[in-house]
Amino acid sequence: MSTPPEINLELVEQIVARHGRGPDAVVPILHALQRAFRYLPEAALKRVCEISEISPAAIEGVSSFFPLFRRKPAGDHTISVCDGTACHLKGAPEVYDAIAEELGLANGEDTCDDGSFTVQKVRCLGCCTLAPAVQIDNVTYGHVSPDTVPRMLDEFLAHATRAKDAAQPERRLLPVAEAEIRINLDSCCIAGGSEEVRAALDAAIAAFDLDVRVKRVSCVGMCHQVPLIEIAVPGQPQKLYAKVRPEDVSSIVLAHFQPRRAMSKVRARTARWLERLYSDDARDSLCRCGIDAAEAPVAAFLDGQRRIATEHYGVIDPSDLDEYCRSGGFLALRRCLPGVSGSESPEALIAEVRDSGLRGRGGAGFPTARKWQEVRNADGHPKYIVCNGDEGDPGAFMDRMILESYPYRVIEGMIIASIAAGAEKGIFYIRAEYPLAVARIHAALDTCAKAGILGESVLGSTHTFHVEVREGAGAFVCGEETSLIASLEGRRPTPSPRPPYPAHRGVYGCPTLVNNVETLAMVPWIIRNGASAFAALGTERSKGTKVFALAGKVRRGGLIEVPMGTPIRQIVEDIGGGALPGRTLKAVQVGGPSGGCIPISLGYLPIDYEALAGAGSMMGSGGLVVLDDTDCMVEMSRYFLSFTQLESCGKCTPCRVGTNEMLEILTRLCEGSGTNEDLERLSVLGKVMKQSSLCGLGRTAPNPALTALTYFREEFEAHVAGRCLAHKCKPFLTYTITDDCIGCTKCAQRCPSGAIQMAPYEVHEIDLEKCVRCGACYEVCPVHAVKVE
Amino acid sequence: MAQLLIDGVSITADPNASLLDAARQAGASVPTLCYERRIGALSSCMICAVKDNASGRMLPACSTRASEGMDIDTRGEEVRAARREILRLLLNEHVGDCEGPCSSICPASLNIPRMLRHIESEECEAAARLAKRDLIFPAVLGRLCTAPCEKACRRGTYDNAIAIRRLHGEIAEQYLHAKLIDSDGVAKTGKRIAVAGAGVAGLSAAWICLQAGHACRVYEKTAHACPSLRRLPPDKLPQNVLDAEIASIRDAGAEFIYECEVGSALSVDALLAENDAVILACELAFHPNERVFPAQDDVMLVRAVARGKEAARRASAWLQGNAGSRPDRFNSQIGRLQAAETTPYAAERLRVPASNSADPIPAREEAGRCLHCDCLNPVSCKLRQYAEEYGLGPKLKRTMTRPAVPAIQRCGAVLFEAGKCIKCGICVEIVRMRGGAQGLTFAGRGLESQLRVPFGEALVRGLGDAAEECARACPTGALAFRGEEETS
Repeated sequence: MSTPPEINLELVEQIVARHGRGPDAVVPILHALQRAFRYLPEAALKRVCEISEISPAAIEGVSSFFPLFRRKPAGDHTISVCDGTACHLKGAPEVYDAIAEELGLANGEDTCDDGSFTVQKVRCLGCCTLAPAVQIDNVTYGHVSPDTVPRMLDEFLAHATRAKDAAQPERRLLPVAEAEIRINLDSCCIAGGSEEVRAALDAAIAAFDLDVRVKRVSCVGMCHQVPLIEIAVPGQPQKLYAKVRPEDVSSIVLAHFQPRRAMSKVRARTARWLERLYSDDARDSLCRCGIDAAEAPVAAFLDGQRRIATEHYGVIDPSDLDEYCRSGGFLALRRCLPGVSGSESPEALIAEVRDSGLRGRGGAGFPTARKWQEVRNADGHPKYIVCNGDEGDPGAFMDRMILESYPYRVIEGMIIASIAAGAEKGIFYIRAEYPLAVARIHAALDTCAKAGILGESVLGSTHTFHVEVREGAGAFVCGEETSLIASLEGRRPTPSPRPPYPAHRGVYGCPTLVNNVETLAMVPWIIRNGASAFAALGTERSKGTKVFALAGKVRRGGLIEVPMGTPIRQIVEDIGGGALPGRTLKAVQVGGPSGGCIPISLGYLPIDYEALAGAGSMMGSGGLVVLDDTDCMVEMSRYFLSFTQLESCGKCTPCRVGTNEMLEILTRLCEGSGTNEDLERLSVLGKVMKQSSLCGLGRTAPNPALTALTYFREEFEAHVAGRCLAHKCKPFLTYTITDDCIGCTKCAQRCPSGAIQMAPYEVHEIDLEKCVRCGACYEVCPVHAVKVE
Repeated sequence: MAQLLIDGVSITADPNASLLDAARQAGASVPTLCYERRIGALSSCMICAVKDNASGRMLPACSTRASEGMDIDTRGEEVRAARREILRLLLNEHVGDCEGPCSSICPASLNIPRMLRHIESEECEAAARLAKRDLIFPAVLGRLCTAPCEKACRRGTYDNAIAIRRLHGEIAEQYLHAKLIDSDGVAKTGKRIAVAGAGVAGLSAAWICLQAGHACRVYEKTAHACPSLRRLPPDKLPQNVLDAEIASIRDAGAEFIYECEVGSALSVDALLAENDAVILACELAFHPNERVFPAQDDVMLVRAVARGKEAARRASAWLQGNAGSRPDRFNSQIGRLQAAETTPYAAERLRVPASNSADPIPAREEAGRCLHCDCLNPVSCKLRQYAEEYGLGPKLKRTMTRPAVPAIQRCGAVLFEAGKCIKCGICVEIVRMRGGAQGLTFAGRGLESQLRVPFGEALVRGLGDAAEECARACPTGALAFRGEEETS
């Protein structure tokens, strides 16, 4: 690896000057340093301590806590392999290994010898429906497999070189036209290829000189169909096209719009497209991509849903303030402006939210109005409101989607909450893994400030509200209010005992209201439509709707919003389309690492706070990962414990040591050396952790393992007896080739360990000594001659 | 003012009192590790769990406000079980020995590291006294013991084990005729104990009985004490060494009756009629009377010593009205070092490097080679006290892979052993409050989190002049003073 360049301390000084010298600037400064140097050079950190109020202890303690911060030099490009739940299920570990092998990394190394790439595991990129996902710098790749790794790296390098050679051409501004081609450009769609489709659309429109505009719109949630475009022409039914490839674009466009120029003027390259328009290819792509919103699967996906947080999905441009206002945006806010006659009082606002029954959507389900009231009643000035967008559940991405698709809605909810609680300072706390969400919120805040919606006088009222954005750095525990506040103040983000609650002593010791993104996104709708409309949806104690990220082994994954109380089975079967072909559903993992696995036999359970808690799970942030008969419950438990073990902050004993011991036991079970005593010990550990951990992370960490042990005990016992019922845990597997083998040699070509000798037209054999049980032969065999036991 | 119930007792607590304050006010004892009044509640160890009877939840007593109407259980079985599991977790993470592996394996529990420190500081009489106290026959054992201690000696995995047996033998022979332990001053109990058999086990039992203030008569079927040792050639065991150590027991007040075989010439029942208790250290192994205590002899001499001591302790305890004997102290153990751990473990503890010379190294130098694996705070360590109090047994088995052994760091007279740190955060807070030096912090997260001086600087820079205060406040032996011997 090349020696690190001399550290430019002037740059460090500029960074400190930009982010402030107070102790709370530590995380923003570390982010800036990492962007500047690609790691945190010690000389730079020491300089920061010299010229700011940040102490060496703080900078050491904080920088070593967050895995996003590196203390040793990194390669030119960073490959982040997502190991979120859905990606893990769909083979992320194998993808990581393939990348490590491709880069020639020795054990434990993360950067290749020529310093070009550094590879890391992250949880999660929030692209669960494109699993497994890999991000290289800012480019995200979906559906990666070990096979496609070399191609992905080559493609990235070619792309990087191109980007360096030619600056991105500026996009031609199109005159506003009535007809629209709508495309979603949220992070997961981009990973699915939407950016390329958008480029192809722009090119086609330019080539045919069409009077139509390409409009970036909010997320439809049909992640299983991306890239998705919708053609909206006034007076005609809207038409959806799914899984569009760039080469399909011209034929789709020409099916709806007449080129304005005469054919003879069309440039040469469009001729080729036109030619194809009348070929089978073109018809094929129209048939293949075109889907009808009334068509059964699409209808099934969309019909059971009810949109509140995601109102106007797929229609409005996320960053267009005028359009947001035209579709009812900021109407709710205008009704509660202090000092404006006819406005509702803060007390009335709180009462409205109380009557609506809205509860925190971050996981625990605390009544929102009570939190607002607490902060309103608390003594202290100024008061803060923090929008918690540190979505850490490795199988959930609804907060990211809401921030990317509906930034103004969250801002509006936040301003209303600030009026109710009497707060004048707001902070968005957003995961740094969500750069697009950060960018869109920044842009939306600027637009709002210019429009007078934020600032000294909100929309001319007596209410003052200023908002800033802070980025997290990869810590699940920051979802815990007290940790999040510690992180904002520049301390190590370890939780503190409550009380005092943040409502009384939060950020900088001031009363602080912490609300989740989705909670705030619900608020404008409630104010506009009234508490009773919201309370009409849902169950006795869980009102309204909830956004879920539906992923895993299901036909139609995506982001969905359904009324509370919808039965689990209805979500999985109707909206999700049920099991993948040939598979049977086994369980639904709800709530990620804090939640639990609910067997499909309990699919009648209505999805609400109480029912989930009663089944040993919890709502969590709303990840719904579907598991089928090929998923091993012991391995799933191990996966979640490995997550919480890494995310445990280490402060309290039960969580710090308990997660580690549970993980050891589960790993032993997966490796075939578990005992019956281990199963007993799991229960004992689970109990003490639930009882005695300091914060929610530790108290809920045993849930995945305990629910699996309750509902799938036979799988645990099978592991003790030396079998994995799902044929998933490698140490238990034996691969053999039966006489059905036709001698095609595909298995021998794919075998990574040379365990299969190539023998054309003969029955192949697997050398069990050499076999690494990767399953590649099983996957590739065209005649199913490979047997697993 | 808040009115609440602590273990069913109604008390009135101050407005800002915690449950810990309230419990103490009610006279209940709640264990704490991370709590220091001047720092306030850190709530990291969670050992102070108490149960809220209303909700059934466990609450950390240190940081939970005592509020009106609470009904708190501080000592029920469920509470004790929760604390026991937390202790088990802390001990799973704990990498340190309460006692050196040499002492742990010694059947007679000789405190070897302390004896070696005495020898090294030329406090030879103190060393000899310690050897006599624990071994009773330190000179004889110095020549005949199979020395399991040397097999357990961790220095042995680095270069050569300390010549422990030679050292205690030499030092004992140096003081062979001195009256190291004065039993004249011991208050007499008026109880009489008969010991059948004047072998090493019987005599060891007699010695302990005498130290406890009981009158003691030893019955031996031959004409001499220790007849089997007497038959050894003088180059293996010189007569005068054996005689001197037997004499020390007679001098302490033992009465010897020779050529009187218990069981034939004299029945156990007859002995019981005349004595308060009988210790059987002869062929007779068992007698159904509850006042009879067996102390079987053993070819492994040090085990015979241990059996004699144990029988005498049990007899003594019974005479004082205690049913059982004193349980062994809790003893956390690192166990065997991995190859990669040996060098860093030893390096920080080395004071005298290994010698290649074939000649025996002088006693003082040899003792100086000790790695001092034992804990510096074996008495004040709260973790050890609670482990005993919560019945985790003297030899608790780890249920998790032991974390790697970290090296010792030094800061003047204060040593830091990271493996014994329970991450309570008290020292971090003390250093922060003092505001000097470079400061201390936890670095990393989870099980990997550890106390660190920023930018990897030396501990001296981190602790600064708060070192002493931190060592005094440390609830375990992680931060401790070198050279201060804690004795119970």
